[in-house]
Amino acid sequence: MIHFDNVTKIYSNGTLALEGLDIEITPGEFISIVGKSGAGKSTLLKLITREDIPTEGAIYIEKVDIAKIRAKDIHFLRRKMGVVFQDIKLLPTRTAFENIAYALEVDGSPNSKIKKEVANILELVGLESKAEAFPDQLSGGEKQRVAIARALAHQPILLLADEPTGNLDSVNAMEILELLEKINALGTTVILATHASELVNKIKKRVIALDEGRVVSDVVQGKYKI
Amino acid sequence: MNSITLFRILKNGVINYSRNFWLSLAATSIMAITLFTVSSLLIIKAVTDISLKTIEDKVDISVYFKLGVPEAIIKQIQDQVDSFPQVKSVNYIPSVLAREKFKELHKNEPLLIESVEQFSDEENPFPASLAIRVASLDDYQNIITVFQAENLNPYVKKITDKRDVVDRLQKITDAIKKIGIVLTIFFSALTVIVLFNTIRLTIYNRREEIEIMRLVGASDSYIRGPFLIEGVFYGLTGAVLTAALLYPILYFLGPRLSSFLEIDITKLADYGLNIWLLFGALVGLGVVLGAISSLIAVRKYLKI
Repeated sequence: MIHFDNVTKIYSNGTLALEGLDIEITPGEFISIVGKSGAGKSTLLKLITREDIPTEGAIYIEKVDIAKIRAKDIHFLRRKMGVVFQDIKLLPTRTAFENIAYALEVDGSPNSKIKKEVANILELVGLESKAEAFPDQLSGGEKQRVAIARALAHQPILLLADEPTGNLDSVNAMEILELLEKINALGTTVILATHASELVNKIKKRVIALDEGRVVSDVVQGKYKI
Repeated sequence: MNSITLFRILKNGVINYSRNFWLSLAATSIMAITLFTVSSLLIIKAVTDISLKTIEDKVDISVYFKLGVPEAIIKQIQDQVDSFPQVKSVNYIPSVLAREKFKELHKNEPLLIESVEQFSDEENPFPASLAIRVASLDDYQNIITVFQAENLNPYVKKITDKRDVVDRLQKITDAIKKIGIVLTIFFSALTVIVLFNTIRLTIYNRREEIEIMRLVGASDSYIRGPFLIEGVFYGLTGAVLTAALLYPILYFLGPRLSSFLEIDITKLADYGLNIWLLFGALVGLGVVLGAISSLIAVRKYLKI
């Protein structure tokens, strides 16, 4: 589904972020990308969301070289994926319901469908009672669950999570992880970038370790090690 | 773009405007100040134009004829002058009337009146005259030249020469007009720049929202739309606020200004300053300024 073909990323200030990456990701996988800060995890995710493009090599999603997608068509690519961030990034002036609905409104879905789907997804993340709350009325864990709900609302084939538990305590972090596993079990490919070893060790699925922009290990049932 | 998307863009614009209340209020106030400045400058320009016109209207040329020039000839000259395109009006003042005017002017000075009444109608020392008004100060000299020509000069006793006054007046009006245009452009540009920067800051403040919208798959136009609507709202509300401020001022100050400047302020309409037209122009200007500022400001953050 996703194919990294010898991908190198050098930022304009000369920093080498990724070097010669060859990765193949198949549908339905749950992949943890681990590594120290600055190892290149976030850059890797940003290349998939096409916030940035590789300096060398190419990334194919469903056989399309995404660097070649025109700027005005990028939103079609992004509707195939959901993204969850460490800093959550909810729209501050929208309620939980509206934040999730936004991801469905963008492609012109009818209101009746939106109402039903958002209700379902709020139930999945366990926040039915917080539908009308604004982000600053929610706890950190609740916010992240709303963000995950938003990332899932349009039923993406791929969920990207960049340190989603970074700002959460261990109980909340574990809940978020269980949610991600539940989503993966429903068929969505999940890519989780993290440096939380206890999470990765619990998942027992494929782990790709990065160090200074290079893949140092890629193990099918891996553990966190650098 | 289908109707549901259009409706959602409109809805999002309204939500953004109302839920970012303080930002909206700041932008709307700056918009109102901009519009108020521009419209005040326009009104001041119109009032100045009227005042200058009024002063110009008061300037006339008086041509006094020698005693004994027959009335028929004077009437003939009057018709001739009247036919010049640049002449607005020609008034014939016969010597009898000139004497009456003199008496009216000096009615509190019995000695003067008495001495004037010594003369019979035939001996009346007041010369007959033509009072000529021209459309523009520039035509003043032309008229004087006509009366200095050989065919008319023998009848003419005197032309009141106000050239000095006219020259000075003309220089002042030219200067006022030039300064007015420069000031209008300067202050309009200044407030427009401030307005643009305010709207840019409100959008800068929300750049992360734009990034989020991009990442959840909103198209450029779907993101830009609500910001455009907000910009239009700044224009609409700014115009209403300006009108609410400006019209009472005009209403209460207008009559005072009229009597102070000795002009009729209701004449503003003659100078293209109809009050409803002005409101329409305020709305139009506000909407265009708001929309353009929003579009330029949001463009920068759509590059992700």
